[in-house]
Amino acid sequence: MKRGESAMLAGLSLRNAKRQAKDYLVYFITMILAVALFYAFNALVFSPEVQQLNRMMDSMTLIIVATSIVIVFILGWLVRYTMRFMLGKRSRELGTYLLLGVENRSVAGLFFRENLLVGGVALAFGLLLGNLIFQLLKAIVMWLFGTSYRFGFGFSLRAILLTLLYYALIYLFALLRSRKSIARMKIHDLLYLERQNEGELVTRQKSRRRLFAVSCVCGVLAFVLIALRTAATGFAGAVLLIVFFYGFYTSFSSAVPTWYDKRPRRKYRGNTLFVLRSLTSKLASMGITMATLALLFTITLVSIGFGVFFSNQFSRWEELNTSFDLYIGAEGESDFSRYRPYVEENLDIADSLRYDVYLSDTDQVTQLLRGHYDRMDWEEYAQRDCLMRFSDYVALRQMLGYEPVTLPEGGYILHCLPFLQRWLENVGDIRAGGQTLRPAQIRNESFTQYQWQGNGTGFILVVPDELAEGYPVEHSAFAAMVNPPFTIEQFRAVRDLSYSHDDGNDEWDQVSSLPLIKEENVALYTMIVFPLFYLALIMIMVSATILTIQLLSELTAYRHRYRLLGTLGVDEKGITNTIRKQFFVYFSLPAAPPVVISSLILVILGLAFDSGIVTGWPHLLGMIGIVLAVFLFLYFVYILAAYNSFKRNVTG
Amino acid sequence: MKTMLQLDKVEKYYGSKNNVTKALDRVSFSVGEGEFTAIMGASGSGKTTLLNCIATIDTVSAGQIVLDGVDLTDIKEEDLARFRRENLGFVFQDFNLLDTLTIEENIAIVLTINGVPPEDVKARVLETAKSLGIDDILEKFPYQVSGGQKQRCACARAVVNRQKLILADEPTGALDSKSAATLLDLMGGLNRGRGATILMVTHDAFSASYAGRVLFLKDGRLYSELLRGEKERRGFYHEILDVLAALGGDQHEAR
Repeated sequence: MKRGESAMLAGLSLRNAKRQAKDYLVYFITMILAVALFYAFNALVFSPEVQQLNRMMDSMTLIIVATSIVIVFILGWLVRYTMRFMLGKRSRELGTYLLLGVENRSVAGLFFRENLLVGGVALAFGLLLGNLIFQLLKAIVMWLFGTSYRFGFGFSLRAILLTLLYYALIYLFALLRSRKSIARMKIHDLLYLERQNEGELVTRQKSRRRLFAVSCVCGVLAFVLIALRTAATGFAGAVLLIVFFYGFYTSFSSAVPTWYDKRPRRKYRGNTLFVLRSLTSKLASMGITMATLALLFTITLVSIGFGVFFSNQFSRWEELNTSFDLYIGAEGESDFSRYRPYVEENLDIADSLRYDVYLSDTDQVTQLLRGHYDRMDWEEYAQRDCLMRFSDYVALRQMLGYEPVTLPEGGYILHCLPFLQRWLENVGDIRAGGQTLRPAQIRNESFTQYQWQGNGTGFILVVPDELAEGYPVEHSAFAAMVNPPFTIEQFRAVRDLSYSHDDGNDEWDQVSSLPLIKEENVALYTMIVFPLFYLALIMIMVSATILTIQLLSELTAYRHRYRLLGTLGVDEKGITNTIRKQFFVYFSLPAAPPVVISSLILVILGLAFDSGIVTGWPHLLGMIGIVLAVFLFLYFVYILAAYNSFKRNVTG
Repeated sequence: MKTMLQLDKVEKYYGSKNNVTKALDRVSFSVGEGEFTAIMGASGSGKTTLLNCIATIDTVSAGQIVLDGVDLTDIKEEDLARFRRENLGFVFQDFNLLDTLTIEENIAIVLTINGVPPEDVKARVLETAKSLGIDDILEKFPYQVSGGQKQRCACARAVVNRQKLILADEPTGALDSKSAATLLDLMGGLNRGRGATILMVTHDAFSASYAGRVLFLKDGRLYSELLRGEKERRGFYHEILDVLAALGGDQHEAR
């Protein structure tokens, strides 16, 4: 290459890079955001403050790195897709270079440098933005763990290196491929590449319609399989769902115009005709892309759904499981001598109580819950009602700081899990120790009633001491409040004692702790929810970007079409309406089926939780509503950005 | 004959205070209902500006344009689109069909824009398409048919809603001579058969010879006028060439 030519091409690279950043602004922004998220999440897991929070954070590092690798593949697809797309759109320009005698190698170099430049700028911006996002994430994590957050500016070298590595993988792979394809291109192919896709619209209409029908059947079948909720059918269902998406979107573009052709009344009403044709022409060449996007959307929605379900499960567990700093439940009558030496020596006990839970001879209350709550059916004692002495109850309430209660003569107190209360409102009189007791009150504070060997299974009947003592002891319990520090190591030591039964009994005691469960939950929560949202965010960004690029790349064609509509006499309001309708349908197409499908999948999954975790339809639908709201919000931001630049360009 | 279009001392200036270009200079003429009028002139003579002013795409600086009793300069900005869709039909040099619509739909879109009941659309499109000989390609997309067929589709679009005035801007400019002749014959047919009023801008004497009257524009002013009367088209064509010769400099563009 001569010197002058090389300088000219370098200048062209720069100018083209600028133009590319402007024309593909959404893509550029997405790459910046992607780098920012890469950096932020990787910096988070390598940040010493976060790693010190909980020993589980080590596994979080692994999860985030693994998620990042998945994201490398997704972004790799986006970059390759966009580059191929740009090559197609600019084939005429590149062909002209070749025609003027510039060598293939130089043209490939031009394209390479230009993309490297855009990528490099995105990388720099992304790292800066990433640091801000990292601070935000760190603040959230610190808040979750109840630790104070200190702002500290500074880059994490490890995170930067990892981000560079991910980024290099994404870009270099895509660039090398496009470089290869440019090197092989011929002038004629480049000059006429634009014409290649035409004609696809009308071929094989009949087989496409058949495909449409088959894929719809696959879709329905997929649900039946997923609803069976076994691993094997779930997998088969997922495969069928993929078949459905690809079949549906590749055949959709001919099925819909056919449907409208048979219904001229609908077709020729208002702006339907124009919108319909704008979209089907786009879809005809975008079927595979749309299907891939729909698949991504489904994965995204299900991921967000999992995140929401998990966070719900953790917070519900916390609420239902434990109320004491330390709780030990041991089968039969126990004096907890096994634990006492360690507990007395190592823990600073503020208050404690050893008491018994008695098993009545009736299932008068238990039977009211059958069908609603059968979490511990396998426990023999769960078949009958459990009783507690009033004096123990008073002591425990005091320990937990609950308001004091009284027990009127001839009465009993029912203490249950909050979500079970609605079935226990009308228990009425019960018989205990040969006496009839009237219901005095129902309480539902957190009271260690969700786990085995807790204070009853879901509920307990609090009766006068002497009446309870007439029944056999089901299990003994040791409940304590501990002054800090109470470490996870100490808790583990206590729990380990429960495994070392020397009586040949292979059952062990129930040992739990509220503050420690809380912390473990936060760690688990962070570990599962953060990566899921990370993944979901990237998928929404990538999908919306591809849709936007596709639309904005044809601005000239759209501008021409809308200007013609204006000449033919459609006023500004009509044109705005048409653009809106087109946008709505275009962005709904790949999103609406996934929204419906993943909502159904989430309903199926949500129903698998028991009523302690998911309390009923309002709760389940509420959670799915949150999922959809998060998704639609993020998606909508992209659509709005695309709409604004589209409208400005088309009508301006 | 009822007057369909009346121009009265129409002026159009471009540019700033110090550098004014007069694109149209006191142009006055009228077109009767059912007339086929051609406007000829060299590049830059102001013929496209004139057409755009009549099409309400551009505004005049002074003077009046009255279409079927309505003064275009009186119409409010927001009512212009409505006026266009109800009264005007357009035929452009580069067809301006919507590439995503079939030929049938390209004709139908004018009817849907005007809110014609959907159930009537198909029949009206078919009737118009038949009269232009394109009823056998209605299912095709623009890229699947020839230039001549595209332009006939554009003609069908311009008359399907019984528009009062059809404005044609170099309609044969992108056609080969055979397709051009066919198209002009059909336009003449529309003019006679449907009584369509046509105003055609062209710099091509051959195309102009199909009209009943030719107006010549030079440097924004009306230079002269030719009437075909009962003359043969060939004779009229030579008369046009003579005027063009007198106009000067533009003969090489005549066929």
